[in-house]
Amino acid sequence: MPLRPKSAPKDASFETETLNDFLRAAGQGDETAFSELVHHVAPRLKTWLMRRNYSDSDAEDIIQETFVALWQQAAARFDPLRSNIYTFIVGIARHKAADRWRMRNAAVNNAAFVPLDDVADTLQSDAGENVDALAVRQALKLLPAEQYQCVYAMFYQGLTHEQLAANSGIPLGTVKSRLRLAYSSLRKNLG
Amino acid sequence: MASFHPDADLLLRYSAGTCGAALQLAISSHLALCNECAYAVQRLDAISGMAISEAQPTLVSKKCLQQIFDRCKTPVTAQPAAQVTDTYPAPLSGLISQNPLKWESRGKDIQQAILLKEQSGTVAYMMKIRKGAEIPEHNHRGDEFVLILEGSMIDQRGATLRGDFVTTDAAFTHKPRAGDDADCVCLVVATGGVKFTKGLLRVLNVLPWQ
Ligand SMILES: [Zn+2]
Repeated sequence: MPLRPKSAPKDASFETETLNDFLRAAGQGDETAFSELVHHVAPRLKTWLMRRNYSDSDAEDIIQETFVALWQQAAARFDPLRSNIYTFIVGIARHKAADRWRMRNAAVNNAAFVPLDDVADTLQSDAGENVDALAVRQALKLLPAEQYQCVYAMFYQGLTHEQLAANSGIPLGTVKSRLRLAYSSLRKNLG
Repeated sequence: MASFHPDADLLLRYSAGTCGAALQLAISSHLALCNECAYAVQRLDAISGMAISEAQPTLVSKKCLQQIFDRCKTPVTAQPAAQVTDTYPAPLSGLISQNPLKWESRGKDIQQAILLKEQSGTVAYMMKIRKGAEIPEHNHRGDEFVLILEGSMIDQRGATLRGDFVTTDAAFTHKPRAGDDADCVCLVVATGGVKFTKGLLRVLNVLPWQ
């Protein structure tokens, strides 16, 4: 069955496990599974990128490069025991976002822009096992409210420390020390 | 196995995708040499992944989706094998293979080559120091992050070797020396440049790209 875009399903809520299965199938050349995956994940990835100050068109370019790399190379390496679809895609998207940044800034850098061949900045590490959503939620829940606020601002809203400090009135040094504490707690609880 | 690592703050910013291009290059290069930090980032990426999964969807244009599916239908053309060197970790060697380093001499013992420059003024550059040579005493206008790639570098904190990621804040004054065995090559990210505290090498006071 040929690949073709379709209108987004009304209720595009797939469980992560289902998406993991789609990704694994995509790694074996299943175009329908890949298409489902793109339709579900791309709009969410776009939000994540735009919160990091990428413009609408840059975000779409990064999405395009991310999913093409996923289809052509990365999906075949996906191992659901070590990663999940979203954790897996973060490493690719960050890498493609850096490519995009270099292209935008090629003139400043006095260097011709050529996209890099390698796929992701970090793929699944050999040592780690997948951290499931339940474990992440649990680890976040264990953070004191003031630490959670900083982690949320950073991971969900894409704010820098400076932006968070300016928005919330929390001194920059306090933001940093709360994040240090949060990190210890997260590492303890995420294994 | 590295003895110096990016701190919690850097790993969090890296995973969250907010650390900026220069640090991203340096940290991802460290991750390629340090299983410990690669493991830590993978844990944190579970949070980044969850942030994506819970994000409100933003409409992706039909054009973008069409381009994805069109490109995926096109068979992948075999690309010439990337030149693999053991010297530099993948994120860095990838960048260098596309944009060969242009080394510039800074005095007789030091060479530098820019990698990238952010609008904020933060720069990432390669630095090569002749073995046994000393960099004159200096402190920093901003934070400095050094990833050792070849040889070693020694200051009052001890010796640092390949894979070590050393953070130096603005207040810190040091007089680092390259180890005697081999020229030292490192990747440096500087948020503000260095300030030499002693005579002569004023020519080094401002990085050439700032
Ligand atoms: Zn490390």
